[in-house]
Amino acid sequence: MSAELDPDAALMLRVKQGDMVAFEELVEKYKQPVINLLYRTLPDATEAEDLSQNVFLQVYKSAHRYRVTAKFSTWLYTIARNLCLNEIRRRSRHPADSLDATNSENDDQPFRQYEDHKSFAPAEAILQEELGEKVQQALSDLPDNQRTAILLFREDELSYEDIAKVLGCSLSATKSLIHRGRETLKQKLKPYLRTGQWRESNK
Amino acid sequence: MNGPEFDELLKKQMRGSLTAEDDAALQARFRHDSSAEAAWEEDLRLNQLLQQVPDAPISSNFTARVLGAIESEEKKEARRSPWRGVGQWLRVGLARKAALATIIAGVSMLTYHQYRSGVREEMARNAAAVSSIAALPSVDVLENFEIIQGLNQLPPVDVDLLAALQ
Repeated sequence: MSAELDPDAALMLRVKQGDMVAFEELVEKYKQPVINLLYRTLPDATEAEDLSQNVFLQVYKSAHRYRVTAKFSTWLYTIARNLCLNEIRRRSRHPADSLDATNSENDDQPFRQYEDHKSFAPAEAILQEELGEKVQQALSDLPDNQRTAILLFREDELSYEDIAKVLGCSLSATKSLIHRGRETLKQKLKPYLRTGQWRESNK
Repeated sequence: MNGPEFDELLKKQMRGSLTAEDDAALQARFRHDSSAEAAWEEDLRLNQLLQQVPDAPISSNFTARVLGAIESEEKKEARRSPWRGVGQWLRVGLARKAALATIIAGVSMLTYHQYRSGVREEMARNAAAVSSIAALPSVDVLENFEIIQGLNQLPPVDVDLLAALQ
């Protein structure tokens, strides 16, 4: 893997030399994808953000060990996934958080806040919100490996080989995970796939 | 065309990188299997739904907080280990260690030499001071020392006799 082919790897090599501007650039680029990945497993915005910060802290602390043998994004998502798994294991040993807990900053607000990407008429907005919640729930219900595989599958720059590296699986196992996950989602979301409620997204 | 191959084409479709050959393969598949086209349409819809899953909320000062956490971590590291300097020393190369040891030894020897010189000077000054003191009395005088000392043991003064003599 050459640094010329991956601009993010070139930035990371600068971080290795102590370049904080390069590090900031990487954080700005990947903060949303990383938190998206973690948020689907830890459905608490505050915890997902805290863990995301730890991901980048770990990236910085590991900079001296960074080698350009893979895409930077593959390395980054591997760190994110490992920290996420550690957190899940920690919770299984010390279950303390209630699934019904509300957002600590706004106690009267539900956990999940959806950002409005478009402005819809009220009825359509309700429909879109319901659809979004259904998709979110269907994703959350997937086994962890399948969910992570499908979320990484969404990322344009990641190939099947990259996803396999992040998951620590073989290529065929990764493809199988993605296929099974998608089949499960299609089953759960069948009414929404058939009714055409998705058609707004075509615009 | 099996499931994973279908997914491969779907990924290409998501990236907008379906080639003419891919499209032809799909059309051929649809002609042989009408349910395949319905499945493809379903997968396209699922792709669109997944793409529309909202982004997770994130603080506007996320990057600043990451940088703050790094700075905090580095300060903690600096405070945590007084032996950090030893650790760093151990990582220094052998040549540098030898050079540094030589310098320290040289400075130590110079300091010791200066100390010894200072002590000798002080002793010399003290000897000179002693030699300037008046010479000791001769041996003859010292022989009479016991007689002189004995003078301290004279009987007490007879006050009445003194008064009569005046």
